[in-house]
This record gives sequence, C-alpha cells and structure tokens, in this order.
Amino acid sequence: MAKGAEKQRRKEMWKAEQARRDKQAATKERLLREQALRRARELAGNGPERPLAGLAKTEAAIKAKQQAAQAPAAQQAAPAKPAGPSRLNKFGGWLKAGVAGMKGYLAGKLTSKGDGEEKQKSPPSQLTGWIFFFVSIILYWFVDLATGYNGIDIGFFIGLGGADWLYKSGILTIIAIILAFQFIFSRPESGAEFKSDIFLDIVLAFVFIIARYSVGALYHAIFILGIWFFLLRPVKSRIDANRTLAILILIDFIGFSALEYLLSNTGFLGGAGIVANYVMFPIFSLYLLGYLKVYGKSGLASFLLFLIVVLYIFGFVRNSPQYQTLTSEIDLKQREEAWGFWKTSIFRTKEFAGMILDPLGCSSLMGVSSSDYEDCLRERQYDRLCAEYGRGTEEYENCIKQKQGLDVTGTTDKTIKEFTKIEFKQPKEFPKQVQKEFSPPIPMQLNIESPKKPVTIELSCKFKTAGEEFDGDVQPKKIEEIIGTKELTVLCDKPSDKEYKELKSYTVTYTAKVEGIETESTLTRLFVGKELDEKEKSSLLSLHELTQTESSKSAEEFAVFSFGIGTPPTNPFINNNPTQVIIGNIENLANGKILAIENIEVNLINHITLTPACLKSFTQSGNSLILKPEVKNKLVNLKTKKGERLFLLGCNLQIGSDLAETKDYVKRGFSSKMTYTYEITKEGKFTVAKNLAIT
Amino acid sequence: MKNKMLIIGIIIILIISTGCSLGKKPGDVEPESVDYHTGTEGLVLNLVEGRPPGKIWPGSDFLIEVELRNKGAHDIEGGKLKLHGFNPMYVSPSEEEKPIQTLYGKSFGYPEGDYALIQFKESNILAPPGKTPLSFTLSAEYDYATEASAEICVSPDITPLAKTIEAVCEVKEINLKGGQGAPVAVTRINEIPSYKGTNLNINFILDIENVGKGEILGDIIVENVKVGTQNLVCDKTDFKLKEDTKSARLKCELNMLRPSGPYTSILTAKFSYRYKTKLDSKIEVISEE
Repeated sequence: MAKGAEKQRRKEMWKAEQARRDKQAATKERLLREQALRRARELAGNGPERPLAGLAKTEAAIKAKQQAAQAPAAQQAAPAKPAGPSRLNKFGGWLKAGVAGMKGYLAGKLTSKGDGEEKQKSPPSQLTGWIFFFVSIILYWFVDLATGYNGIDIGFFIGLGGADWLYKSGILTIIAIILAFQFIFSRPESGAEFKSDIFLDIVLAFVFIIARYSVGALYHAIFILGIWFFLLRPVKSRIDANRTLAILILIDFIGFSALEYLLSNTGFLGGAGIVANYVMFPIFSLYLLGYLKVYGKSGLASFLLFLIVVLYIFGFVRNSPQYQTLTSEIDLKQREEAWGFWKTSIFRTKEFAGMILDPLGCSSLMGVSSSDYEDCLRERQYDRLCAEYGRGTEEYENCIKQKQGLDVTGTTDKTIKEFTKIEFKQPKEFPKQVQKEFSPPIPMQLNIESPKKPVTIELSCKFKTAGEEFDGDVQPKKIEEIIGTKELTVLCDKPSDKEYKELKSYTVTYTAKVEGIETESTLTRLFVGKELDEKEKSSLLSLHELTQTESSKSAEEFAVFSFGIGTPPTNPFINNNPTQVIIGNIENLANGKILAIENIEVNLINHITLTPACLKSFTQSGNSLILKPEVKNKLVNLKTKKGERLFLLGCNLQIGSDLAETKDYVKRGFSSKMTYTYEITKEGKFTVAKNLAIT
Repeated sequence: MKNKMLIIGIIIILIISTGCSLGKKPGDVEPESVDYHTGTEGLVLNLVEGRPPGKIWPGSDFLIEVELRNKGAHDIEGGKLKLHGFNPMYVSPSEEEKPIQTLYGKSFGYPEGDYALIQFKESNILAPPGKTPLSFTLSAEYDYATEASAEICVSPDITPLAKTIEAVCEVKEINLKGGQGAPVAVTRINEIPSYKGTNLNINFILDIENVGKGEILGDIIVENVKVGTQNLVCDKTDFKLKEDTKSARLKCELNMLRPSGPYTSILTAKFSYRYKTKLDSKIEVISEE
C-alpha cells in the first residue's frame, strides 16, 4: 500500500518537473526568436550603415529563419532526454538558473555593449567634443610643458635587454588582471570583440606601466580613457571604439619616438627633425577636430583643420632638406647617392627588424644561461650581416669569422697624456652677426699638440645657408710638419665673387685634414702554462692591474689599430694551448673621418709563429706584421663612425713550448703602430644683419 | 660576622695562590724545553726595504733584494728563487733565476731560522704607457719535509664506550693544532682498532693539509709512519692533496699481538715534498709630465 503511494508521489513529481522543463523550453524559444528578429532588423538597415549592407540583409534573413526553425526542434528534443528528477539534479538546475540569471543581470547592468543596442546610440553633444578639444590643448600646452612630458622614448621598449622586460615590467600581469575583469564583468559577445579587447588590453597595459614612470603619461592615459568613454563609445561599435582608442594611444605615447627612431635607423635623417617635436603634432587635438567635423558637423572644426594643414605645409615642408633636394635638378652623382641611400635604408631596416625580433628568437635560452642567450643574439646578428654571401658558402663562413672578430675593441687609457691632439675651438672673437657690407674673415682657433711626431695639416672652410653652399678662402691653407704644442687662428673669408644675404643665417664649416698621425696601442698577456683557478686568476689580474677582458690599450686618439691575442682574443691569460687567435681592427675613436691609412705595424714576440692566414693583408718582417701596400691603397675614406671598427687581421698563432708550457707565469707585451690621415670639422653659425641706410 | 668571613676567605686565597712557590728556593730555574716543530711556515720571502724603491725614474737601474728566512723546522737544500712577471718591453732582464744556498731550519743553533739575501739587478728600458706599474713576482721552490708526532693510545679494548679498569689512556681523535714547523701538516689522527685473529689491528687515519701560503709541486712522498719503532704499512706511498679542500687522508695499519692492557705510545710520520712560495710586488715609474 505504502509502496503504491510512493510510486504515485514520484509520478506526480516527474510530471511537475516535465511541466517546468516545457515552460523553460518555451521561454528559451521565445527569447531566441526575439533575438533573431532583432538581429535581422538591425542587419536589414535599422542599425548603423555598414558596407556590404545588402549581403548582410540576406544573411540576416537566412539566420533568422534558421534560428526560428531550430528553436521548436530543440523544444521537442528536450523532453526526450532521460533525465530523472533526482534531488541533486534539482539543486543543480536551480544553481545553473541562478548563475545564468546573475550573469545576465551583470551583463545587462554593467556592459550594455550588445550589438543590438548600438542602433540606439546617438553622438554626444558638440559641446562635449569642444570641451575635450580645449582640455587637449591644456594637456599639450600646459600640462606637458609643466611635466616635461614629450611622449615615451621607444628606447624604453628596445633597450630592456630582450623580452624579459615583459616579465620584469609586470605588463603580462596587468594584461592578465584586465582580461580577468573583462571576462567577469563585460564578456565579449563575439570573437572579433574578444580580439579587439585583447588588443586594447595590451595597449592599455603598456600605457599603465609607462604611466608609472611619468606623471605626464598618466594625465594622457586618463584623458584618452575619457575620450573613449564619452566620445567614442556613443558613436562607434565596441570593436571600432577599441581600435580607434588603441591607435590614438600608440601614436600619442610612442608613435613619434618610434617614427623618429625608424627614420634615424633607416638613414632618413631629414625626416627625424620634422617629427621630433611632440607638441607640434598634438594628436588628440587633431583627432578631436576631425571628430567634431565628422560627428558634430562643425564648420569651425573643418576650418581649423584646413588652417593647420596649411601651417604644416609652410612650417615644415618648405624648409625641410627633402624639399630642397626634390626641387633641385638630379644629376648622376645624386642618383648614385640616392641609390646608396636606399640600399642603406633597406639594410638598416632589416637590422632594425632583426634587432626587434632577435630577443624573441632567442627567448627560449633566456633564464637558462645568460651567456647562451647573448651568444644566440650575436649569432643571429652575424648571420643577418653575412646572409648576402649565401648561407653555407665559403664566403659566408669567412664573413662570420670576420664578424666574430669585430668584438675585439681597444680600450683607451686616460692616464696616457702624450698623444696627438688637434681640435678646433670657437674663439670669443667668433661673430654672432656680421654686416653685409663689412664682413671680416670669420676666425676659428686650432689647437695642435703633436708631442712625438710631426704632422701636416691641410685646412679648408665653406659657408652654407638655405639653398646655397660655397667654399670659403681659408688662411693658412697648410701647416707643414708641425711638432709640439701650438695654438693658431684660422680665418675663413667668403670669396670675392660671393655676397652674404641679409637676414640669413650662415653655417661656416672648418675642416682640418691631418696627415701623419701616429698612434700606438699595447697589449699585455700573461702566459701561465696551464688553466688557472679563479683565485689565482684574480690574484694575478690584481697584481698586474688587468681586467677579465683585456684588449689593447691606447691613448684617447682619433683612431687606433686595436687587437687581441688569446682564446678568446680578449682573454688576458694564455694557457698551454699552442694555438691561439689574433684579431685586429681599425677603430675610429672620434667624430671625424679616417681618410687614409699610411701604415700599420703589429709587433709580436719571439716563440710565436704566424700561420698563412695572417699574411693575407700583412707581410712578415722579423717578429712584426706590416700592412701590404695594395691593402693600404684600398683603405681610403673609411666609412667608420665613432666607435665603429673595420676588421683587418684575424688568424691563428702558434705559441712555442717555451711560452705555452712555462712553469712560472711570464708576462709579455705586444704593440701596434698605425700612421693615418684624419679629418676633423667644426661648425660655427652667424647671421647677416640688415643693412642700415646711411642718412 | 660577614666581614670576618670575607677576611678569612681572602687570606685562604692568598695562601693557596702563593703556596706553589713556597717550597722553591731562589735560583732553582729549570731548563725550558723548546719545540721547534711548531708553526705553519717554511721558507718566507720578504723584500728588503727600499729594494726595489716604490718609485723609479724612467730608464733607471734598480735593485730587488729579497730576504729568505727558513721559519720551519726542516733544512732547505737545492732551492731556487726566480724573478718573473716583468714585461720585457719595459724591464730587463724580465726573468732571472738564482739558487738558494742551504738554509737550516729552526734549531738550537738557529732559533729564528737561517736566512739569506738574494739580489737582482734590473733596468727599466722604457716607461710603460700611462700609469701602468711594473709588476713582478718572486717564486721560491724548495724541497721540504714535515715531521709530525703525537701520543696515541694502544688499547686491547676495541669498544670505545667500555672504559678500561686501569684507565691508563683512552682511544680518541687527536687534533694537532699549530702545525709541525712546515707548510704541510698532519692536522688530525684517528684510531680504528680491530682484531685479525688473535692480533690487534689498529688503522690510523691521518688527515694532512696544506696549511702554508704556497703550493705543493708534485706529489707528497710518505717517508715513514711509525708507532714507537715499528713501521706502519700505509695505503699510499705518495699522494696529492685534493684541489678543493687542500687536504688528503692517509690510512696506515699497525698489526701487533694483543697487549695485556692499554698503554701510550708515540706515532711519528714524515712526509717530503717540493714547495713553492711566492711574493708579488710592483714598482711605479715616475711620470715625466
């Protein structure tokens, strides 16, 4: 009897559950149908106008039909499920319904970002736009000037030693936090929204990290978020608003710096000057004017934009070096230069790209071993530089070997005081302004210190102003065989057939070509006959005042032949290995140009034998290596900037047993001597006064 | 009452503290026993002051004079002193080697150890660039020996926890502090007694260390290890010190009939080796600027 009652009770409960499920399915169907219709209406043209609207209408109609057809099918399929009405299932159902309800409430309350709502959005008032415009002016002209903020240097990203700054700076953590919040409170409706959210998050994370280092950046970040909230969201879809915001942020924060860096690194230096000034291109203000023109239909904004474009044309383009080059006639030489320029640009662009990508390529070695990571970076760099020879070829291998030698740099010893020093110094008499009719020669002081060997100096000068350049008459023209210390005045006069132009600014450039400079470098090596332990090494380094990496030392001259011997060539200790390496480079130490190499002599010692590779560019004379004349003839007008090196010597040396197997360590010195011609320049600026009428 | 007790206490302390000398007569001085086999030094190098001078003029000659003093207990014969480390571009001769005369170890005749002076005459041929000093090293190589001795306990009872009834001596680890008048020293001796049949077998574990400031060249040769007059058999006849700990362990075995009871004896060990001591210094060349 009780069994029958229980059975009846269960049956009733099952029926009640079935009824509840039917009701739920009906509600779901209704909601789906409403959503499909809303979507169809929106795509059919009630929403904002989109490209390919016709296609969207067809697609919407098909989708609506499909969804309407699927919903009843789902309703029919639901009761067929063999789900018994257990207590656990009941609780699970309530929990699920509760969570869904909560999520729906949160989504509705906190986001209101659904595409269905986009059609209801209306642009903010013109006043809001103008308020933001004026705030942007205040931001650029007052806040930035007060805080000294001028964008973020791209070097912040590049100079952080590889991708580990991602971890160190905490950017990844911030992205993760933003993403987590976004998923909880504002879940994206589609994959595209999700992608745009992530992109914006990354940009925001950068901004917030940077803002920690600069108050100015923080103001910009707050302002830009205001733009997003009050101006972009009301008129754009979530994806478009995100995209616009990300682009604005990137341009405002690092755009100028990145562009400047790119232009500088690709040789397009002229452009760098144009974009250098951050305040000249207030991107927010310009964008807001554009915004007011498009969304506010503001005539004033259109006029201001036009005015600014005109100002830019006159302010920058007419005065830019590019404009002057473009307007002058292109001759053959200029064409060659242009070709060289583009080749250099392509090469430097590749270098720049490589520089960015190398840390990523080697990131797997990061944290494993810092030396492996550094080696990886170096190898990638060498590979890139030698790739033009074709990977795997002999030329490529030789190139790689040569590049590996580039790492040997000399060190300058500031305690060496006796060396050739020649410099221009602007005297007090240098005029700031000259009269057109009365313009005496422009003086420049030349200080010469040549304590050991006489040098010959050839002088020249030229004048340059916008659109004009001409050689000046210099006095003296040549100083022969000067030795010791001397200070003399060099005068530069305009040629008699030239006249200064009133109110123009002139740059006078003095050039001294110094022949016969002799520079010496010395290298110390400790032959220890075995592998020393760290304690012994450190004791010997301290005694002999050496460092762990020891290349040749020289005075702070213009240029030097720096070299190293050992394995690696910078190792001050030479163990019992009879084969050691010698690497030598011509190194430009100053800002001038190495015009010619007259001679290089590398002095080795007894018990060291040269291998044939050493005699590629040098000939042997006793224990010395002398630069071959045919190589010397090629070493003219070297395009080495300050700190750059030109590889010249790289080969193996055989160390005799007397040195390699020494019981007690011995110290040996090596030296090099280079004679060369160097060019230094100095610029001075003056203006030409307006001619006063004599009454 | 308290004051009385205090005064009595002070009197008692005074009596006890002076009591030891009460029986002695003036002039009764016992001969002092000096053990020269202490210390951790062998040959010690020192530069004679002013030779070389701290600073020299470019192109000048200068003297380097070294005092060599044997502060250990063993005589030095056949040693040599080498000057090296000068850069031959600036100093000539940059390397030179001189023999070391016989230097007696510390003894009654030489309580401070024998000494000698060796001179090197050098010339500066070129001033080094900048302020680079002229650095050099003096290295002395010599044959030396360590003689260690310690009182040990020979006991028939091999269980260390059981005390002998007579308690003449006790088997325990012996720490030899202060060295044995040589740069290489036996620092610890441990006994591991056992029985082989009816014979008592004692393994002596000797820890040997380089306690000096120089380095041992080549192997250390085990000359002999004895207990009393009986030679022990060691597991090595020569050995090297471990590079990381600068120490080595030698196991020597004593095999004897079971004694009736514990007694003390003397263990002596002698090792010979070649040792190298260094001295670094530098000279400044006066700049003419």
